[in-house]
Amino acid sequence: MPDFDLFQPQRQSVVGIGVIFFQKVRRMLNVIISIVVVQFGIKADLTSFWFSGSIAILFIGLLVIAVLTYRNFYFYTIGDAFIIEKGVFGREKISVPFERIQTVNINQNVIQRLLGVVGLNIDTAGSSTKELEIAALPKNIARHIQSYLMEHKSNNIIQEVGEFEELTSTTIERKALMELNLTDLVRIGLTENHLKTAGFLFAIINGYYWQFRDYFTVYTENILNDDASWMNYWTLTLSLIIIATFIGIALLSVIQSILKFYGLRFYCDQEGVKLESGLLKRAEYQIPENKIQLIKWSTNPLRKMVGYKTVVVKQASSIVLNDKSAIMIPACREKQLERILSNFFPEREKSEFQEYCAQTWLQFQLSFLFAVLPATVFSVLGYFEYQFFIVGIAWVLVALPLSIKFAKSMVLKSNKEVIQLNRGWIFPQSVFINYYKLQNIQFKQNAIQKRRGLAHLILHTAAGSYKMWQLDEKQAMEIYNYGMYKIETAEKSWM
Amino acid sequence: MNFENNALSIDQLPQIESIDFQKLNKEYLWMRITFMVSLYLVLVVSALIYSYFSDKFDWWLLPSIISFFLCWLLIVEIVGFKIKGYVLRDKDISYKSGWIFFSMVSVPFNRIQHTEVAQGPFERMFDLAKVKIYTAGGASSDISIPGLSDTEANQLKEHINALSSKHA
Repeated sequence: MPDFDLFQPQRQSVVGIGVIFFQKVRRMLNVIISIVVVQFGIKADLTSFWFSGSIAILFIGLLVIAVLTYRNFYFYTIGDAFIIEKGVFGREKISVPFERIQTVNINQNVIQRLLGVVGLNIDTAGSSTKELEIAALPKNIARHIQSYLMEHKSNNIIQEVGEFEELTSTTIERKALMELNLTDLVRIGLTENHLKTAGFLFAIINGYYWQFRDYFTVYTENILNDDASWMNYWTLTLSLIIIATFIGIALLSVIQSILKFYGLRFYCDQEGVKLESGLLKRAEYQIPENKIQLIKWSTNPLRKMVGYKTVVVKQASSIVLNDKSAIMIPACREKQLERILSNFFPEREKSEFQEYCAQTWLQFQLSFLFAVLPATVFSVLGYFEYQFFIVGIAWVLVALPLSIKFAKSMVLKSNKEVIQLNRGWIFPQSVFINYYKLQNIQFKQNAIQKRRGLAHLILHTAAGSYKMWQLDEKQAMEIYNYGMYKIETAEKSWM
Repeated sequence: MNFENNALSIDQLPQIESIDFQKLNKEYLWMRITFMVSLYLVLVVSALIYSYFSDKFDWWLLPSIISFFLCWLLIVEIVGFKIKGYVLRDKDISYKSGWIFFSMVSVPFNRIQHTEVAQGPFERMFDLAKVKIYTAGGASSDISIPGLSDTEANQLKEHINALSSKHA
């Protein structure tokens, strides 16, 4: 690397001032907008002298802070730790041992792209990830730091192999397993789970509606008072609104999928997985092979029709539910999924899978919970208002088969090395875990299950826990004992 | 070279269900009962004071509801105590508990992140402590073994630490 010494304290690129400035402005804007709206309402006079004056002062203040942030920001390495010094007025020194570094990501937002730099993000197992961010670096230097950190963090393993291994690993050009083109992106957008988005939208609009209810009632009262015609009027507009909403949602999903997944390239080999994507904000994520905890795929009816599955590669993270530390491929064809799986679970084909199904009791349980119980409520309501009977019958007709199908879809498969958990009928999903990646196993059994000889089994991994419902007690114990045996005799490290 | 690679059948695996678990100290049960009864007394006294000043309930109503709950909780605690237990094997430690909701977790030594000994105020009164064992598998996979004497708890912790660094 030409004239770049990571052992001396280094500043980032000068244009970093710009990047930091815009970061601060964006953060400040959120606050300002909400204050302005709450304080003055929408009719506030934004052109007044006081307002523009204070905004100008605020901007100058932010610029000064950005310059100070830039001036006080240093990064370097000492021994086996990466160090960041920062602070505007105070001073802070963060030191991260190489071994604690999970991943080093390079990303680029619009501003960074305009200024020709990239951001470097160092992810540790801890929760304060945002703090280890270098806002602006030339791309080659960022790459250099990234490869330096990744190399040294697994130093103790590589050292024994020596130079030869390093040479080969740098000369091999990684070949992308898959790339998505524009039609793929449109398809992804169109096959998004629109019902979920619609529900989300409804919740937001509903929230706003209650806030501004008074304005609305004035408007709607006029219509409602307009006696006979309002019924027709409303059914027509309502159906139009619903259709328009769905078209809008589909369009938004397409735009979002293009923004997020444009130029997606996915690499998958012995070194791990890597994903690049994004139109305006180019992001790059990678997970080294040994950090991968499990692979999960899911799909929905629309995606199934075009033959896509959504694949998620999960790594160990301290925040279990944080999907940010996972890599998501929105559209993966069966063949590609097969290749990913055979890459990480080479043992998958080596021995026969044995199936452990959820026992019939689960069907009763789910049918009762989701069909019989609501139906009873509807019948009680139907006593007062007969329409509820019809709703109740319709509910049972839909919920009963769904519950039974769902219960039947719950299957645990296991061979000697790999465990696979399937669930879901309309929205099927499947999780693949190597036995040696498990942290521990939990056996759960309530009083009813004990009488019926059933039990739940929970597989705890460093990337989340997965529950298998209503297994036969003996089979559950069998998997439990075998799992413990596999974890305890594992030669490979789980991370 | 001494190399063995025998076929392995499921029945030959060590079976956790056929092992006798180590029961917790009797003091633990007394501690729980003391805790519940003192909480009960506080609740009953406040309920009596409340019903004295308000005319909504007869004086005996709230205390009898609370007493009913106490009886139920005591039964669950006493029966549950017989089920609670832990066992140390060569390569893992297991804990089981729960009468109505039974649960058993085994943590292999090569998956332990760290351990700690904790002691609450009631536990201090009875000279008891619990050992908490953390893994990377999230909060519900961690185990906490209560009802050990203070020295037992520290010994157990040391023992686990030694084994977990050996197996790491």
